[in-house]
Amino acid sequence: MRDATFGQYYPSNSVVHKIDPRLKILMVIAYITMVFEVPNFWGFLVVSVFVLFATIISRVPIGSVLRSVRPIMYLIIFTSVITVIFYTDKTSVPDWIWWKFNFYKKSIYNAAFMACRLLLLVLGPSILTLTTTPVQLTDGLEWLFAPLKLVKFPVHTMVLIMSIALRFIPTLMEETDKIINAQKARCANFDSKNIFKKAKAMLPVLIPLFVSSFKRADQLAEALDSRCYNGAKGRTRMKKLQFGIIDLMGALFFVVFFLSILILKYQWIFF
Amino acid sequence: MIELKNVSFTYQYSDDWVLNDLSIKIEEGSFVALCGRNGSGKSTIARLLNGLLLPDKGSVMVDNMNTLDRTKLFSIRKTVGLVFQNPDNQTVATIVEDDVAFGPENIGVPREEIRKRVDWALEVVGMSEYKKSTHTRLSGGQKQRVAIASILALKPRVLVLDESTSMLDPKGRMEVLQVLKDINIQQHITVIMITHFMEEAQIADRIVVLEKGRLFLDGGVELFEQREKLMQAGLSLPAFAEIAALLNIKNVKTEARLVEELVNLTKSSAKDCTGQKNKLGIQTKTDDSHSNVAIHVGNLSFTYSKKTSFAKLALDNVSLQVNEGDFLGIVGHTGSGKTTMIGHINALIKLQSGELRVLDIDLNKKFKYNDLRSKVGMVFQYPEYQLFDETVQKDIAFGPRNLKLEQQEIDERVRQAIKMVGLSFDEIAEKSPFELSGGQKKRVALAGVIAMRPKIIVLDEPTAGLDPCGKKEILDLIFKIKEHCNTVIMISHNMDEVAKYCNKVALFSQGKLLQFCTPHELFVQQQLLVDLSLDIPAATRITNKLNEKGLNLPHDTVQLDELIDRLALFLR
Repeated sequence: MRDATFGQYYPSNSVVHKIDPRLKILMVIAYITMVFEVPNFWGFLVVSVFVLFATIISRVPIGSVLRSVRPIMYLIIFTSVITVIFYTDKTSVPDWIWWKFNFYKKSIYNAAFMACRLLLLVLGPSILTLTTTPVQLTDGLEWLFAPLKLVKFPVHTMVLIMSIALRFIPTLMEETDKIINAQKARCANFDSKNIFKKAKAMLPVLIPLFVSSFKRADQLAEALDSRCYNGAKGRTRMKKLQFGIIDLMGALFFVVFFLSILILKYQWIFF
Repeated sequence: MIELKNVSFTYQYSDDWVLNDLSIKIEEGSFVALCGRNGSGKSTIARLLNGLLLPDKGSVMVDNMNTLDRTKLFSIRKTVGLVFQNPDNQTVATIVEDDVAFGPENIGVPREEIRKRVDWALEVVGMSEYKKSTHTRLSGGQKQRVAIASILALKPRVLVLDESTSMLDPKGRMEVLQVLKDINIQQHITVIMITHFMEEAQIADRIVVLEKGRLFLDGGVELFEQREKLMQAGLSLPAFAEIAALLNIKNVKTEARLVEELVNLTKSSAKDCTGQKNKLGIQTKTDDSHSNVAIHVGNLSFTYSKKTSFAKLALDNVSLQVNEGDFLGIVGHTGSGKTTMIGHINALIKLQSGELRVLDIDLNKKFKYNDLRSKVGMVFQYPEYQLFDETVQKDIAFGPRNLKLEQQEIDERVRQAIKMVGLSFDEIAEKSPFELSGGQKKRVALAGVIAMRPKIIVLDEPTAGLDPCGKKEILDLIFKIKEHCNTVIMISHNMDEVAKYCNKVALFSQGKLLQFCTPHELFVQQQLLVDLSLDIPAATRITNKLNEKGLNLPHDTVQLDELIDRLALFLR
């Protein structure tokens, strides 16, 4: 119930949903490299506009996209605070001094820069997972990893395992919640400050969770067998990956955006 | 279509024959209910039918193919489709249509044909509009219908369901049964339904009862007249058959027939029963103004994911009061707020608005979680899933240990708790909880809660998924525990249980408390329950049918015993 929707597919019929998953995966990889290439805040503005635009045309509620940031919020706050407090620059004079700490304008700039980068690093890929079904995602990955089949790497099996893992995340999260509640009702204490005590306190949750996961795995294996699963051999697909006109437009749009970042970075001037 | 010839089967780790020289023939196009208590061998049969298991002796023939012939394995699995108990554990893909397509993809069906099959299969189970939906957004009944569609897409000629309705609420169960009936009649697919609910078995053309791995009874609905034998096999009768058997009315095969028969019988003796109502008043309202308040709930409201776009009002201004000694039943749909309500009592859910007092603890003020949780014992659905420690003794001691009690006190409590749930300390204390049988695990889990010596026990569907014997055992146990810990609150979908055990009922719908009264007062409001598509106790349903036909029974009959006593008086 709580965060079961986090990172999960959001059904809709938008253009972004229709783009070929292979292209989307490649775009996300390009996007990540690009976010590292961004030279200044103008660059982040361009990236943010891109993310916002993609979100709007994907018809996914902005709230769902923003939600993906929640897990790394603490990381962002933590790194920002550390950067601001411990940044030292022997060559220049601190802009403010408070107690034992020296503050520099530059450190605040750096912290904000890093925070923006982290945020955008998470936001972009979350649009991928929100608009692509796990099957599309894994089909796309299977295609992209196909060359590995030459060296006898079991691409298909790996991809099936991934899709099953994605499918079971919400189920296991729900189960974890249930077990935690059951143990809390027996006065279990999960709020200990001591990290070892905390780890030990999790045993009454982890053991039942393992036991039930194995049970589920057994039953799933039976279900796979009953549905005639026999590896990749002789398998067909209901949905064929097809590169269409929408994909071409998506790719073009992305390239324009990609170039604009490069222009900012290398100050290419055409006019 | 299917033939089991002298089949015997044993699991590797055991010496007992799960199936013992069993022979059954099943005709194409029939609808067979395969019944029996837990451990009677019925689930093993399901797995033998599609070659997941192979017989040790004898043979299993599917459409003239022997399951021992491994070259035919995929043909056999295409012919016999198997749907399992837990809808969550048989779904491979997140998106409904992708999951349904998985089977046909495996057997290499061409692309266009897969599309057609998926659309057809989802149409048959009535889930077409959900084809793009994600698995987690579906209800239990819907998930199970998708699981059936996933098998149908393989175009099987036989559909086997291994207790596929046992984890569903009554609404989901009805949905699935309706789908099965349609599949059997319209698609001409043979259906073999494994179940321990005789109420469900009624819809089959043929009922096969197993006991200890052997064929015990085999026939049509006339089997319901063999009350003694069915009881011996650990099964219960549908309500109408129970009435017929106890009133000694012969040749009653359906509920409608029973009603007719009773109307005919009573015409001759035109007695009026209304005058006897008070004499028969089995459950008179108890005056509870003197007992102490155990739980006070005032204007309680709760919203999940507050302040987000996912906000969902789960409890809406609920007020109620439970007295010491009450046995409160909480009824309502899945998602009506029942679980949120009981979560509050144990502070598993933090109070948002409203008043809540549990015994002497005011949850609006500061309090210690352990004080509250040691006084309120919670038993969740499938409590056996909470077991974790090396030995039964240690596991049961988990609660008391968390309360930081003296070792001697802990031992004492563990001993007493084990005794109370009807197990033997010497036999079980040093065993691992994971090597126990299902029923024993449940008892050990219950003991783990009892060892805290709670004053109030809260149970979330304690009988879900159990066969009739298991149900009765657990309910009797709960009744026994009630002698020690006075106040019991129980969430249940089974109205017959509520009618039988509870003295008060709270009916929830969409987060609101619609009714808070005695079972008698609730169940006379037939229309309300029908509108909410909740079950009505069998006794009330039959009483209403009889009264429609001109009988004059007191309409507040909620328990079967009550109805039988009243009818017996009528007929005398």
